Amino acid sequence: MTPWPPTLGIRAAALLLLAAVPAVARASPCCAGATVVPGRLMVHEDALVGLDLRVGRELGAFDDGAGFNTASGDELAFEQGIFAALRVAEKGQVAARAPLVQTYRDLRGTREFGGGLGDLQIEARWDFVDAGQYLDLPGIAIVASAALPTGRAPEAVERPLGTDATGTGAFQGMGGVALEHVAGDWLVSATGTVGARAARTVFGEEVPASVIWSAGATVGLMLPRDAVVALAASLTDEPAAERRWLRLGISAGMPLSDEWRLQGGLFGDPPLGGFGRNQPASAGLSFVLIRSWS
Amino acid sequence: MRYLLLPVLLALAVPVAAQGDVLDVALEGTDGKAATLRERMGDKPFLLLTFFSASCPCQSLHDPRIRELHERFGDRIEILSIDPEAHSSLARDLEEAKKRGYPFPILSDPDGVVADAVGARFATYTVILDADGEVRYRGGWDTDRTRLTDDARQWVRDAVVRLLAGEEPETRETKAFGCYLRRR
Repeated sequence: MTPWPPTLGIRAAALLLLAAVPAVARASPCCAGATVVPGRLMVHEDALVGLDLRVGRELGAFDDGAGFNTASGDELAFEQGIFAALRVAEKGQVAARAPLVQTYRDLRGTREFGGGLGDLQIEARWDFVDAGQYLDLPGIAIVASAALPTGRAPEAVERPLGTDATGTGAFQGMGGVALEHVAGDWLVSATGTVGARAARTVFGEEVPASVIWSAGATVGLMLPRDAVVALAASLTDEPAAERRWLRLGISAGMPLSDEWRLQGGLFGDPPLGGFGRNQPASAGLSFVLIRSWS
Repeated sequence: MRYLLLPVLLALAVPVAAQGDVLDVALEGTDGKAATLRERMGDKPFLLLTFFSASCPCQSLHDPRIRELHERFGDRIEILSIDPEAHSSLARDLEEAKKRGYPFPILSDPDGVVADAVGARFATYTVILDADGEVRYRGGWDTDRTRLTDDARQWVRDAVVRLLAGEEPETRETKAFGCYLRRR
């Protein structure tokens, strides 16, 4: 059972998989990492709005010794987000996402469903060099994101199984560097970020700030009609909480028209000992629909 | 919609004045000639340069419209394609011109001399110059990016029609939606 709602790191890892598949990738950098907003503006785009849907099922949890234990109950996590991105300079873009989070839990015959507004997310990206711009130089960008504790914190739940927890209860910020390279029909990207979860007080106890490290890599293949398929992996580590998790995913995207594009993917945390620590493992699928303006 | 800062950035990044020098640049083409753009232009009043990327889907998408424009106006304006990509070669351009059925030459410009002079950064970016080297139109081919549509605004075609009628293009500057022209 998940004692905590998904953290920014988990969401970032999940959404990384979605952001890995922008359509019309040849005209733009692909495979964004360290992103919490699944819609990234492509080179020629000035703005976009989108809707993302995600559902995940808990497979079990990694214990303190990195051993994996299968779930004793049943848990489904749903998330729907609306997001928007705006170009504020030729190389700079900002984005924001508002999620609705729901959780269904079935534990020893007790069933519960709850949810509400999650943590608002904001993100900024500056591409110093776009992927594909130079023959020998990869795309280079800095990314920064933050999650505002607008959701219900785990300690503030009212329902017995805590399904009304929708946020982390703390401000979180991340920043990092993303590299992307286009070689023929292939795209590869690597991202490294470091973030922090602010300190907070829970039931009178001080929970100190903690640092979160994350590294991700994506390999994408461009297909006819500007479709893209991508494989992604991200490893996140939160030393102070002795937590670590690996997320893998496969995703695909294609333009429906010049203005509309659809992305979808499968993600999962390998339910094998050694691939995580003090962290639940889940698997699921996601869809993103984007309307853009150029 | 425009970038919020696009007008400022364009003013800083893209030359908008006369491009007379460009006409004196000599490039080798898939027609076997090594001539200046001015020489290629001859007595025609306008020179249309469209920037080429062999690997760009947007380029391939627009090939029919480029050929169609040449068929319709090629006897009245000089239409040339320029390949400014760092890894371009005349051999590759020869192959591409043949494969695509271009009735006009592709000029190989691996140093990007012409592209730099006119601010071309994306495939299908097109400029129309007059005999004085003055830019009369710059930007994209049309409003289509991933597929050709019947209701696309055809900027280049409309600009050519108006220029040949002795009028200024209704839109003198637009965005080109093609891939980056890869440079070193």
